[in-house]
Amino acid sequence: MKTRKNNPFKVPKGYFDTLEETLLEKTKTNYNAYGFQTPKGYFNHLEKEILQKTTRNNKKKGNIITRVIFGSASIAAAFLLFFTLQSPSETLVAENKEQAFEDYIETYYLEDFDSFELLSLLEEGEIESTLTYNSKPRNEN
Amino acid sequence: MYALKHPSSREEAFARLVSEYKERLYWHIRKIVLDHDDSNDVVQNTFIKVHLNIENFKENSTLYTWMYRIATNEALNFINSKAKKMGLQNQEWVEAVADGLVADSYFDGDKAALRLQKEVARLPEKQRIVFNMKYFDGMNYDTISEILDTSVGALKASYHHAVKKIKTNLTDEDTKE
Repeated sequence: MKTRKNNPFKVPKGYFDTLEETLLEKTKTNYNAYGFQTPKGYFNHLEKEILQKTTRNNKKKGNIITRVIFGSASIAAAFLLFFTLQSPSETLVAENKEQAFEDYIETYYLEDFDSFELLSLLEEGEIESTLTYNSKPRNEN
Repeated sequence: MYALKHPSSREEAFARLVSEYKERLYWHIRKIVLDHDDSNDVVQNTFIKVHLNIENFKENSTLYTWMYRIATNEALNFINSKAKKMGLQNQEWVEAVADGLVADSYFDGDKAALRLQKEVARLPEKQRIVFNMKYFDGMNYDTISEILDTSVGALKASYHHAVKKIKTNLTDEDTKE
């Protein structure tokens, strides 16, 4: 085994100073190996887009809830009055009121929302029960 | 982690998280769904789900493996949904996309790279994911085990079978040519 003193091999000047940086840079960008490419500047754009979506979601959450609460309060009052006066069956009235209220909200408030906006209407606990990601990966094989 | 869960610092910490992991998660997803536009949809959904669920993250796994798990599930669910809409099995859909790589403007692999991708697409789903993570990304079995919630022994078997199938198929093709 040769000692460092007798080592005949050489490296360019300053090679080891830049090796680490070069390796880190390569391992970072080498994900783009094996032929796959992305559009130029894609990752800068991607970051902005994700942050815009998540920020917008936070803002919308407050606005939508406020709209639904204010809108629904008056509708609920109207339905309550109407069904209390009109219906012969109290149980049926209760079910109809609930259904009618849900139909109204779905028809006039929620029909244009995409699923992501609908999620923003849910409370954190409800989101947890529907979307929580402690789900295990699917093991099919 | 505290910064991600605390409302006052959450958005800033999330922005750092996106910056740190966007490329790694994108490439992980890209190797599963193959197409750039599809990968773009999936990686965005992945980060949105991370954002929605970060407060519920239990810290019994690392944030890195938790996000990879979300990305993997999102990618597989995406394939499932696409295949179902077209009346195909998941693997049929993946193979069809792999066949189209030759005309994909965001794929510039040589003939060997193209052949390899087509063979990888023919693997069963789990073997395909394991092969991608081990062969292309160079992940160690412990990390893959945590992400896929599969024992290291089962992963080694999956990888072994995958490599064997790919080698056999490539050799058979060479013989035919």
